Amino acid sequence: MPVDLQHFEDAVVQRLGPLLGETMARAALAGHCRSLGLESDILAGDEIETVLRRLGQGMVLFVGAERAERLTGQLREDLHAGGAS
Amino acid sequence: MSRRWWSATTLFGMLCGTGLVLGAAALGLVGLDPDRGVALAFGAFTKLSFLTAAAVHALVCARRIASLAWKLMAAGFGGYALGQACLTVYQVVLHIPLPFPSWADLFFVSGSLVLVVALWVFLVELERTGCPLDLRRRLPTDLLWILGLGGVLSAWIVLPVFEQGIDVGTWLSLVYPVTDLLLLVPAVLLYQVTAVFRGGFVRRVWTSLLIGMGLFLVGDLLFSRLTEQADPWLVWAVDMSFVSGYALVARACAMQSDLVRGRAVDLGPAA
Repeated sequence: MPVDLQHFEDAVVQRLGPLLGETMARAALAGHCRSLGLESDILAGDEIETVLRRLGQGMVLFVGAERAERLTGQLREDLHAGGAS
Repeated sequence: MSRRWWSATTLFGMLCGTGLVLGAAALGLVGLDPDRGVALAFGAFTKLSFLTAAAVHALVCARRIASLAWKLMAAGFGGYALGQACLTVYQVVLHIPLPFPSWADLFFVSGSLVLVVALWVFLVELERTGCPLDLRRRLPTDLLWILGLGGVLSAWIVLPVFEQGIDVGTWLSLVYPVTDLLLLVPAVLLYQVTAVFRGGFVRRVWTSLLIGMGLFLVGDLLFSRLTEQADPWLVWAVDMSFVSGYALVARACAMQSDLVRGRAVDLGPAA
């Protein structure tokens, strides 16, 4: 399901902000999108999965693999709940 | 009362209490010189409990995160704890003057060197997370001002020590400030890097850890002056630097341990 980038950013800030701070949560998402060459305002399902996987890999250093996986799972649910709003 | 409040803060209070209880127990069991023994025992056991807590919590983090940096951190703080255990045995149990150098010095110096490597490894691991950190741009500037600071401190500490003659003790008394300076380079870099985590729990962990390590440097610098003048205020300042430094690193490791065990930040329900 395609997702609006702004919605994605809001979800990331809400989930990861308490951990990384709002600035880094936004910067991490922007950095991953940039490195993957994602420039569109709407992200396709496979692009979202790739970004989520990268975000999860980055979270492992801070919260461990198990909680990082849970975090990305929660993010995925947030996105599916909102869709391309 | 939220879980976020009690986890790190209560543990921190318990650590302080543990030092006091162990100190009091030592007084009762060993029977110390009342003029000097009370402060010595409280100080020794408080430092030992903080360092042990730091090592144990770092080990918890290493097991949960599978990070080489946290493994090294656990080993480094473990070395410090063993060094402090040696000091405690000499001072509080055996009541003998501290040999210099001693096993304690071996553990403290090797612990410091392991912590230096741990911080560098953490910087590398941080960069691999994909977070935009701008490390390569910061490194030359930081190295320059640390080297400048090192030069000033050398003039203050190294030259007077060499004027007293050169022996093993002389070299060893210099090893501490030098390893602290080596620790300061990655610590300052990490402090700057973690500034971008402002508002996040990660930033609080690293601020506590790095200020604690900064206090190690203050304590060692003051200690190196202690050999020349035995001002009671200087002795107090040395002890306070170490106790507060160890307390802060223990607090940081406890907070990170809470984080990986899901007891620090509410990241929402399980998916």
